[in-house]
Amino acid sequence: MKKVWEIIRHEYLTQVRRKSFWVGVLSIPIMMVLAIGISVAAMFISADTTPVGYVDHSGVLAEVVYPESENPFGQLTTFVPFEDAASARQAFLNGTVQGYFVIDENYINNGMVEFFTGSLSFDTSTGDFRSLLRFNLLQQYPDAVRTRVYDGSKISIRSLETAEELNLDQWWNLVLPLVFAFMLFILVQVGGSYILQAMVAEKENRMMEILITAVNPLELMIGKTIGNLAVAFTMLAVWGIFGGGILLALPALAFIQISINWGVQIMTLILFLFTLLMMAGFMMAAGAMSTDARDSGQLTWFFSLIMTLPFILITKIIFDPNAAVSVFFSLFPLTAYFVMPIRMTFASVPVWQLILCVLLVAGATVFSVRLATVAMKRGMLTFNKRLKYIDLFKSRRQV
Amino acid sequence: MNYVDVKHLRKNFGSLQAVDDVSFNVYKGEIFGLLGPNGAGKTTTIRIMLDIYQADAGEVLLFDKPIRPETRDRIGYLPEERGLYQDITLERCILYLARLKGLDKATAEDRMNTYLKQFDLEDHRKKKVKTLSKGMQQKAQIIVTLIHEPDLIIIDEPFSALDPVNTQMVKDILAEQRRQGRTVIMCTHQMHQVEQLCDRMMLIHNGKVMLYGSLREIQNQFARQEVLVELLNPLESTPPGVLSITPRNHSQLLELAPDVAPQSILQWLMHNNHTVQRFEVAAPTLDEIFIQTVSGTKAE
Repeated sequence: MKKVWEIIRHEYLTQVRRKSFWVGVLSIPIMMVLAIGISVAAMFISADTTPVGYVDHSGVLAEVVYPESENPFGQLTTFVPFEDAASARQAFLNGTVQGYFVIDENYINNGMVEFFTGSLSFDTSTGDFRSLLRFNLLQQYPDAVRTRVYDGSKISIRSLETAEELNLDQWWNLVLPLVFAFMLFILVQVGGSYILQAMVAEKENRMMEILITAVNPLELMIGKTIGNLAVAFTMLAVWGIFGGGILLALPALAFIQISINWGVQIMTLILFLFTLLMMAGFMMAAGAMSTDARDSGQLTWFFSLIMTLPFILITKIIFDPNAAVSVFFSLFPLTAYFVMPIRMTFASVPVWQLILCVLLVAGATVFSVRLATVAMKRGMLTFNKRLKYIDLFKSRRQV
Repeated sequence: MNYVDVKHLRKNFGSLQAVDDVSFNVYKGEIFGLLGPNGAGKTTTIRIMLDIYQADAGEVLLFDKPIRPETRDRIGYLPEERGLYQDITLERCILYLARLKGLDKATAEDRMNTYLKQFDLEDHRKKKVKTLSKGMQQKAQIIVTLIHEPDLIIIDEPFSALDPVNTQMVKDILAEQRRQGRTVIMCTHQMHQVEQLCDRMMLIHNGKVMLYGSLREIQNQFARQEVLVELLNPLESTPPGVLSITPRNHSQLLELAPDVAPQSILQWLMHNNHTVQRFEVAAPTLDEIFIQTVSGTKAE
């Protein structure tokens, strides 16, 4: 166990002490923060704060009441009433308004509003004006009715077969499993790529013969897997700090109450841990078989392709979780960790499929670990020569 | 006591017979030379001993037992394919590999400091391995092999890439390891190093054991009926039993008849009042034995 710990420590420190690691890790959130910052700054800089006029032929805004802004950065548009279109137009020509809305006298029936302005473009003032109209139309109704119209209905879907419940209005509880699955995907991909790099480095540094006379292949594999996944966790943690900071800064998210589906979480955890070990096994086998980093990339493109497929099909999986393609990818060992939790979030998954999924993933994990052990013993001692696939399946005496 | 018992080892790679019925013992506290030309089967034999390869037949006992996980920490191995982590500092590299050999941190640091001073690498400890010269890396690899004070040291071409000063230092270290009771198996092509260091040796060629035993036994086995004499005055007549006389620098090489003992020639010289400055039974060098054995096999 002490040796495993040493390997974990060595793998972790070797990666995180590299400048290139921190450049890679920090560049993404910094670029995102910069992109968001530049967008917000551009919005404020380019925002036209000149008031917008309106001419109300319908009487909807006769006793106008201004709502609280839905814009997290505050009300951007100030509205000024005009008696008629001519005076509004004159104000526009004088530059005192940036444009003016004309509400049709039959607005209640036809909803017609015209906006006159200098050049055609999408304008934040149209959204603000729509809110102003809706707010004033509902003024005559009791608070409860207004709230209901604004907040909409809380539709929950209940399964008659499994007593499971799905609340469509709590969108965050549907989005969070997707975000979590995406994070796991990054962990598996990044962790796998670090493991691959580490194995190729062992081969390029010609260390393997020394290592396997000091530790057994399983110890080496566990150490490298945990060490390199810790690197991937560090990367996610840094991104999480940046992302969390941004989310907490958004007041609009304060009302969210997260409800956790423990069944989904436990299944995710089981599949995730198996998948990590499985990927580690496959990446180690690829690293041990190949001659250098470039060669290893050619050996692993298949895994990257397969693992990316669910992303391409994600809409289908969410909206039709029990379709054949969704079921297939939720049972396929390389994609199960990502697809099965999503299916469980959006649909009832039969128990037999859950059991089969775990069995398949566990079986594939055992296979990959065995493959890695064999590849390490056979491939790591062949320098400048790629191990053939068939060599992995020969008996030890034949190699 | 035998530290290594190899019995009737066989290993094929496809149609190639890499190791063919190889048997040998290595005693505790000796330096054993494992010799052979390239591709002779030396590395394969060592890899089987270390459980990297599995033999097709035969048995290997290390310390009287088949190799087990705990046996690994008693072995120091410097393989033919040299390796060190190039992208980390020298001290990190040595400490990591020492810890993998079961040393605690304090002991590993303590021994590393001693070795770095001894190998004149103290000033380079904070440098990345890739910035060190080939000779320095070779010395670092030897430190890694010895740092956990293994009972059995298996070292492949220990002198390649070393200058004469460092070669002498490594020889001294290996001799010191022997004095401390450790066992060394040394693979090398440098026969004069084997002559100077090894107690016993085995010559392997095409996977087969060609020669095996103590250096004296092997040299006697190849001893020629020749004596080398250096006299103050030249020989005026041919001693009885001498078939030919060949001048060699300041000496003369006398070829003896098959049944003539060298002592009888010495007695004859003294009896005839020759002043003998040098008298030596002409034993073949290991280089000569090596070439004779290997080329003899080729001729067959």
